[in-house]
Amino acid sequence: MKTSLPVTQRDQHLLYPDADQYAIATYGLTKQFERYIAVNEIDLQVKAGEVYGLIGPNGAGKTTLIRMLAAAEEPTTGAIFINGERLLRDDSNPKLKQRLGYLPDDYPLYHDLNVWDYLDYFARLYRLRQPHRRRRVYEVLELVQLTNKKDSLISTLSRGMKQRLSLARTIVHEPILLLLDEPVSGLDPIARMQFREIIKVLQEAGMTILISSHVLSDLAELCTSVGIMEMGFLVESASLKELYRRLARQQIVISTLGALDDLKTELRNFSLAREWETLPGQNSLRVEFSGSPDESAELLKALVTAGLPINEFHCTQEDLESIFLKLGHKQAS
Amino acid sequence: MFDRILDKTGDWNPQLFRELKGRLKSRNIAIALGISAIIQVFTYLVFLSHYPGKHDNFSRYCSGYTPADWDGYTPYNLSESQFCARDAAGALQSGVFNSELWWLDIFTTLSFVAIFALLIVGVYMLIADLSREERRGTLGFIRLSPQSTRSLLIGKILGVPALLYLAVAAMLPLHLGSAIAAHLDIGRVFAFYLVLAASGAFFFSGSLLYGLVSASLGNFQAWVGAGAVFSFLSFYSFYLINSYGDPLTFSLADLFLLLHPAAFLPYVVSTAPHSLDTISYLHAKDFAELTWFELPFFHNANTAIAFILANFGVGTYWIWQGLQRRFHSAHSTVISKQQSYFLSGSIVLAMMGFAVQEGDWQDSSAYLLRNFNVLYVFLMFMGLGLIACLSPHRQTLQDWARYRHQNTNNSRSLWRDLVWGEQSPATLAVALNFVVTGSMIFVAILMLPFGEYRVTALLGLICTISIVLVYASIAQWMLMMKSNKRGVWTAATITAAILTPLLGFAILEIDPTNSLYRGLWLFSATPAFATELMAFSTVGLALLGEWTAIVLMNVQMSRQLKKAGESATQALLQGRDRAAMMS
Repeated sequence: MKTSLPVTQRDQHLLYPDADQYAIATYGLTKQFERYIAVNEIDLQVKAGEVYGLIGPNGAGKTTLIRMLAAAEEPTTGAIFINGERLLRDDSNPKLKQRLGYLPDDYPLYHDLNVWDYLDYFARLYRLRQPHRRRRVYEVLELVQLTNKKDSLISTLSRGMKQRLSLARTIVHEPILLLLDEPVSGLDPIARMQFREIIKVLQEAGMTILISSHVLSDLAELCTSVGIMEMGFLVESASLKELYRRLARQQIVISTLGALDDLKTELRNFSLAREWETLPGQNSLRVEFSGSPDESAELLKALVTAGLPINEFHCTQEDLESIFLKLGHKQAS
Repeated sequence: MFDRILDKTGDWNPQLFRELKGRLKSRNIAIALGISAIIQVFTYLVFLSHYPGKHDNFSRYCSGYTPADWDGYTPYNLSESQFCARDAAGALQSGVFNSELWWLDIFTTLSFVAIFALLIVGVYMLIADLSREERRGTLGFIRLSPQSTRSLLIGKILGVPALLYLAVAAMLPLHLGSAIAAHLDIGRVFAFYLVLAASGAFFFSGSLLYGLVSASLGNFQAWVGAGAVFSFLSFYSFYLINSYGDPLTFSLADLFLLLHPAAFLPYVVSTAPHSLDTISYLHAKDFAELTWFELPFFHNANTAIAFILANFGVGTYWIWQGLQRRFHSAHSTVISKQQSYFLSGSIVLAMMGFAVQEGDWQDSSAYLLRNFNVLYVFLMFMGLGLIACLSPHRQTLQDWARYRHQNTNNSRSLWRDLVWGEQSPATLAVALNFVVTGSMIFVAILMLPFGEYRVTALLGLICTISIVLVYASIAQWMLMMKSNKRGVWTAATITAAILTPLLGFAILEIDPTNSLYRGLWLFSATPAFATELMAFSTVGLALLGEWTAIVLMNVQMSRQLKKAGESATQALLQGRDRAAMMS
């Protein structure tokens, strides 16, 4: 079923002029189930080489969006471009499929094959030839640290190993765009860390990666850009730097060996220090500070000059989690 | 060595490689070969036990002549030339044992075993495998790979029943050996293998399509599919083997007989050095009389095999059209509207070829009418099939109604969209299919020697098409239901609409020839059998009633679609609750 017009090259350029500037570009992408609109007119743009994190509560439409980007789901309406090429769900674009790697959240596997045969099978499906195929399967096995398991039946692997094997399957054909749907959910902290390391390696290798997750700390460490989805809409899409700059407040943690009240009295003289809260169990304040680094140096100097016994003074930023909460995003109902 | 072959296979078709890798393990191979050996030994032993016994005077496998002084009786199913002449010691005289016939029977038995094992078990394996992959979600990955649908599904067809192929291939030496011992023409035997392969391609492709379409049935679907093939094969095998029944009806039902690979066996068996009466099954002379548009295709083996292969070929071609569409998108219809016009045209053409045969024992125009009435019954089934293949998914219809103006090429013309469009409702397309096939039949009725039955045949055609359009409208309307089981509900309703009137007539003894209420026959699934005996006015009124129902249902349907297609804003402005819509 094709829902799209047969668009000629020229038409495409007129309708979607900037499509070829992005690794992923969608235009008015919509998916409707019954009367429920799961994804609503999304215009998503992801530049090549980025690690784009997709945040949002359950039911926000992240999985549907990723499935459409992976050509696993037919959009109700709208268009998807991968590196400037139109993505359609049929036999017509094997080259484009060669460039995509998709890891769904439930990563189904074949239990009757062993690890090597499984990867070898997918390498063959993606038309890798010997001797390159053997080399590549070894490479990905090493990357996901499963080399010593290569002859084990898949049914005997642990959950974390299966997850890593699925990731290996996703990248065995060297895609240039990775779509990962909740890749770390259900994994223990060590497995998560291993997974993050692998993603970093892939990013250094130049892949564009789109990850959805609701574990925000994972994304903060990995991503260069973030999109926030809510009830089918993409309500925010910006680089992480931009997001921090715009939304994160700068904070200064100040500890004193003397009385906290003296510190507070002194702080009242500074208009840039707007609010503060006492950190429980410590003789410290967390101060909301809206000034520049020079101005924070001024503040420190003033405090020391005033004779306060300051033993700690450092600037921090709000984390992604509090920014997300601050944006006032609610659970989709 | 084996690994190298497997590796080469994998370079050609990765899917086949995967299936073989998962299946060809030494334990499985041993089991498959063991089962094959057991079947062969069992068959051989059974026939060994049919050797003429010490006390048998007559036997199927004796070829002596009854002596002049014989005063016993001759069994009814054997002839006088099947006497077991013995020497003084009581042993069979040399040359009396008809070993060619004995081997021929083994050959035939093994042929049927191979047909049944291959088609039934193969169909079951393929459907079960596909539904398992679909359920686990692994099929999704394969779909996303750059392999073509054809390469993936050919890999499945060749790989999933690999062990079965092995077991059947292991029967080859005994099968060929028995053919040689029976003095059969080996060329014909290989031609039979060709027919068997073609039937495999047809049935296995069909089972994949069925597996993709009926994914909602779960585990059950493999049993239903294999059961259907089993019923088909058993039904026709019975007619082919039974020496008293005539396997051919000289009507279009013969087209379906040709889908049984054993339909070619008579041409193989006829090369045996016995009279056909001695063999007493698979009579080629029945087949020799079969014609298609009065062309004697079945008069010789070469044209017969060409016809049979072409029949499988055309069927397989259309199934693959459906597979190509359905594999990537579970919501698309099995065939496009455009394809449907050609498909129904080709089916009716093939069926009509067998319908125009003339029986020599009856008034030929009455015979033609009988054959055309049977054609109408098949026309009805074809119509139901078209509804199933052409009706879009509910979600598709909803999207079509809502986003038609954005998505399709034909957004300017609703009519064009209804006739050619991918996602539009199917009722008009089904009607148009009947315009195509109806006009073909109409021309045939005018040209053929129908004599006094011409008007009856025409009325039968019109009544059949009307009632199928009623079913189509009901089906299309029901497929808009909210329930997940809407497909099952629709199928059940249509089946009930077909069966209830016929059952009712049977119970209440309403016969089209004499009952007061015989007009009711016009509303049954087989109105053609009644038109002959009705007054014009009765038929006219019945048609008027049916057409009114069709129009009303389609008006209601389009209102419902309009409602489904309105945007959230429209609904809001009209103060309608979301939940109340589409119900």
